[in-house]
Amino acid sequence: MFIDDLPTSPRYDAVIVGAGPAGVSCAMALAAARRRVLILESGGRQAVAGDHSVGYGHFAGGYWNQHWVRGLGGTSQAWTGWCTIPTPLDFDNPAIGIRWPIAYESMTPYWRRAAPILDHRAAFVGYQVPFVPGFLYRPVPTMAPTRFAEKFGPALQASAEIDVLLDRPIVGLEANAGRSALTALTLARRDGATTRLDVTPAQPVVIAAGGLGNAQLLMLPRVDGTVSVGNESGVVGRYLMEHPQFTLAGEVVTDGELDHLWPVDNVGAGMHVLVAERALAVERGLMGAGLQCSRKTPDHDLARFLSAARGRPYFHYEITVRGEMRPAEHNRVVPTAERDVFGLPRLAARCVLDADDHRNVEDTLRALGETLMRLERGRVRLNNDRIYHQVDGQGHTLGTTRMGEDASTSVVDGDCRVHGYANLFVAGSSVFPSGGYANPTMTIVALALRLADMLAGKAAT
Amino acid sequence: MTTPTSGLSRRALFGIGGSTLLVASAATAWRWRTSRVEASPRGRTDGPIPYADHEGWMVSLAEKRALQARSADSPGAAR
Repeated sequence: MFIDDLPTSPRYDAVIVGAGPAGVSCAMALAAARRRVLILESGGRQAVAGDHSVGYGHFAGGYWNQHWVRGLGGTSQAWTGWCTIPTPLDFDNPAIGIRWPIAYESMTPYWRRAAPILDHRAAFVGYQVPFVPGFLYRPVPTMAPTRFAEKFGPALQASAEIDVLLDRPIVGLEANAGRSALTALTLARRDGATTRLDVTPAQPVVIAAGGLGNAQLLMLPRVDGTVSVGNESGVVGRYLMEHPQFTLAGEVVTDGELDHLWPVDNVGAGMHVLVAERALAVERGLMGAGLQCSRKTPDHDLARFLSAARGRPYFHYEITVRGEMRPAEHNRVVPTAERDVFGLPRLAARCVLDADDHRNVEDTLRALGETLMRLERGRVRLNNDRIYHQVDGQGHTLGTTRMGEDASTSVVDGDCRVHGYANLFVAGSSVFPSGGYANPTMTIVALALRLADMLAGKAAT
Repeated sequence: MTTPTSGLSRRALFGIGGSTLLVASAATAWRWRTSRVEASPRGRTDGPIPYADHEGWMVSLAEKRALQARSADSPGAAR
């Protein structure tokens, strides 16, 4: 139920900070396992974007503020609804030297459980078929977005296991002297008054405040000047990544009828996407890149030329590439001296693509072009200007509390537990050690469900 | 929309001076160096690109000549 203030003697099995897709999914799964959960949300019932950060680099201009939504439902309230899952390459790619400390296959049941939460069909999760040798057809459904406030608000209100306290930003985290357990959270009210919520080492606290918000909380300054709770490694905020989008970076003319590969029975609207198979990607040192092929037409000069020459129909598609950024320590968020309307340190975020991030788009398109030429299946065009001089983001903020086995180069372990802490966990895209090309929401929810299972003692760790 | 950040320079904000560089441990540096070496494309040769460029399109030489001829023959083409 929604509560107006903390109970006099709060007794919860877990505390979750953030009422977005990660926080709500985790809470609902814990509640299903009969765990008592408190959700603390900085915003109110109406989710609003704010002026939480200032951007530098390729995604400046307040762009990410539009995608950093506080309130019930979090960023789902501004989400477009596109869902897909990473490829095995995204979890273990030598081109960027990253291997997730989670087996790809172990995520499959959680992606399938995440699908209905996001109003997608589980049977579609991971759907892919061969397009040509070296490339897979891996469509992305574009269903109507799931607004968590509308979908789960009534269930949260009715829940006997979940309490939701809105308008309570966390402005302080306290830990024991050995920094082995979180001991308290400081909650602020709009009038500036604060309340302390004590937690025991046996009470897990899950930070689920968004790709930038998670880092913001683990970089909260402390009165005594000591390092922020959860940032003992100094890694929090670093390795910030986006999913760079290269609109109309290429074109393809092919006899491959992508419409025929679409799984009509399984899903409604969506986009045709081609990705390099692992063997080809490893051979060529490719990072993630999804080649979205759209606006099919036979009415193109080269399509007509090849159709006449080969005696079969060829079609023209535009290609927009959704790429991957190489994780870089210098791409990061840091708190500034300013405070936002919630009393939290406003962040400065810098995210700069490097040459490899652009080069990867060209190389992936070239690999497709060479394959289609070798097989006499089509031709590819590279738009150099679009690949190297124009890039957009997608509002995805990844990597700021990255997952890894080494406490000196990562923030959380494979269980999403902050290194060294018994009861401090992180949920959300901030734990992704690499970005791949896939839209992150389904993996965010899947990791939240996995964390809930682990906290409820239902999953092997 | 950008807002001045208390007079701090970007260099100071992001700590890209020597102090931050020291944060990266030798082990980290070695790991990254190793991964980058491993990432080098192994299956590619450095031979000539076996195709031509026609207005950005990867095509065969014969196709390029044919397409150029079609363009030259089309109405309005420069003579």
